[in-house]
Amino acid sequence: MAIVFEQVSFAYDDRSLWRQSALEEICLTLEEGVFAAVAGASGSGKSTLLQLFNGILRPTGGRVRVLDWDIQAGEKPLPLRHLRRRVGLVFQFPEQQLFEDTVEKDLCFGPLNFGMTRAEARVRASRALDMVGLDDTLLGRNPFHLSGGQMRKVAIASVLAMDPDVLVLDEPTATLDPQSRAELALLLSRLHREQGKTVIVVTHRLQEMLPYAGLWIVMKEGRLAFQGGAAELVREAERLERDCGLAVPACIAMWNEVAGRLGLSGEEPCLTPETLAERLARLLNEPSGPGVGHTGRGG
Amino acid sequence: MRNKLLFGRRIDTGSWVHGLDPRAKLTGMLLYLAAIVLVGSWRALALAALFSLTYMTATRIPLKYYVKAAKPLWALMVFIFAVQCLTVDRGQVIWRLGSWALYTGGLSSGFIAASRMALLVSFTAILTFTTTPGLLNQGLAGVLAPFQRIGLKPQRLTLMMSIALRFIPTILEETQKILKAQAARGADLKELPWREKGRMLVSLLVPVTVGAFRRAEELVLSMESRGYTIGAPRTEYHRLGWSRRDTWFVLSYVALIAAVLMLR
Repeated sequence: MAIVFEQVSFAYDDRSLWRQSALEEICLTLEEGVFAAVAGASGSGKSTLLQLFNGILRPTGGRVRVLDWDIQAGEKPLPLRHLRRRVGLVFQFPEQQLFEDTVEKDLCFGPLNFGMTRAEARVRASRALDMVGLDDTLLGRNPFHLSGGQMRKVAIASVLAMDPDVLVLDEPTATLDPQSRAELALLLSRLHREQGKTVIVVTHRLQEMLPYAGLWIVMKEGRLAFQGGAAELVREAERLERDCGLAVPACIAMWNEVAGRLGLSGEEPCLTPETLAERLARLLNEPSGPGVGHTGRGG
Repeated sequence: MRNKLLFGRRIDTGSWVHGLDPRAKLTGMLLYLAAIVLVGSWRALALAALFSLTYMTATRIPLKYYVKAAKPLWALMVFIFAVQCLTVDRGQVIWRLGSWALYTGGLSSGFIAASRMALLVSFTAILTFTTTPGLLNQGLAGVLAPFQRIGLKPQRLTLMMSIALRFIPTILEETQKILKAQAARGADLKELPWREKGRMLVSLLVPVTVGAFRRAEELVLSMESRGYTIGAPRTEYHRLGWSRRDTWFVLSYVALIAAVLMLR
């Protein structure tokens, strides 16, 4: 089991007048090798949740178990350096997590801290940069002079360079152009599929992660509002949109509409135009299929 | 980090001190400063302490927050105490070490001086604990208004002040974000040895300064794009209103000064 949350609560400025509760009694289990997506309205606690995964924030109530580490509220903090090598966290705003004066130094920062030699770190850095689709000419540049999209990619690469087992990303695709966004989603799914990495992504664009994520988590006001597979998410989309302010993408709304009218609700949802067209074509070819009769009534 | 730094954070309890005119509070604090400087005897110190405690309780903010507010300056207080002990040679000798001796006068004036400092810092925290930065600025503009005749521009000063105050939490937050990013990549400030800690803190300077400049530039652009011109005549969203209570509040400080002078 990669990550287990047992009734985890977290409050900022705990035990002061400015106490602000961010998470309340979260129970969550993420298996090793899962691809999970976290969604929810702004301020629902997504970013706070992610920062508990590698001990950047420590729970103020309950217990977090990550890989071999056990972080319990109120206990004396253990050194967590090695946990952070295994759980890589990319924060929300890329321009706020770069701090060295060249891209290369920034990329090498993690590997060097975890005891790699400079030569190894350099190899890692250039490989990570390549993974996010940037070329080596950027290595000597100042990260603060890059464009927003490049900064974000460098920030992601700086965590990839540490080669963590669990990859946690907070809205990695925001501020990227559509093509880079698709590439990044593909990269994450490749890391997940080919290298067996556990991937946890916060996203506001559900459609981006729908083809890849096996587990969906929806947050609402610091609590878990939903936890389940894509098919369940699609089934409960309407409720989640109404209760949790989830931005349900057109493909889900379309499927739910079609499925409702043609009596396909129990099926695996078809969320791309191609699969949906195929399914409809199959339906029309079935002479005594249930769908045809329904069309007239529903329309 | 923000937990330890209480400066400039308002604590709303809705007491009558919160509702006072910021101009009255500012004037009161200035008079308090004068009174504290004049404190020179145990009796005057006791009176000033009683006066301070009365107002602190009136704000209904737990007293430990005032203690917290004075805490960052403990080294300065110890220093003031030590200097007095080392230099004052009045009263009886308590302890002799070579050519230097500790006198009762040194001990008592050291204690009074350190307590004055503690009182001053914790009491003036009332100002920021009970007033929003916006109101504070408006109050400052009001207090400075008479100086307009001699060419001072209170508006510029208060704009500068409010932006500076506004940026303190932002810059702290940005610093914390970088610290977190470094921790996530294996350099947790809490877990590093001292020398490394120093090196890390120095390495923060560049990104934080760059960030502050970037924010400042963005702010200027966004203000200018909305047509802000410095020195243009402006009206206020909230108008300050002086009530009888404010007058009494200020007068209580005048009384404090008078009493302290008498107890000298």
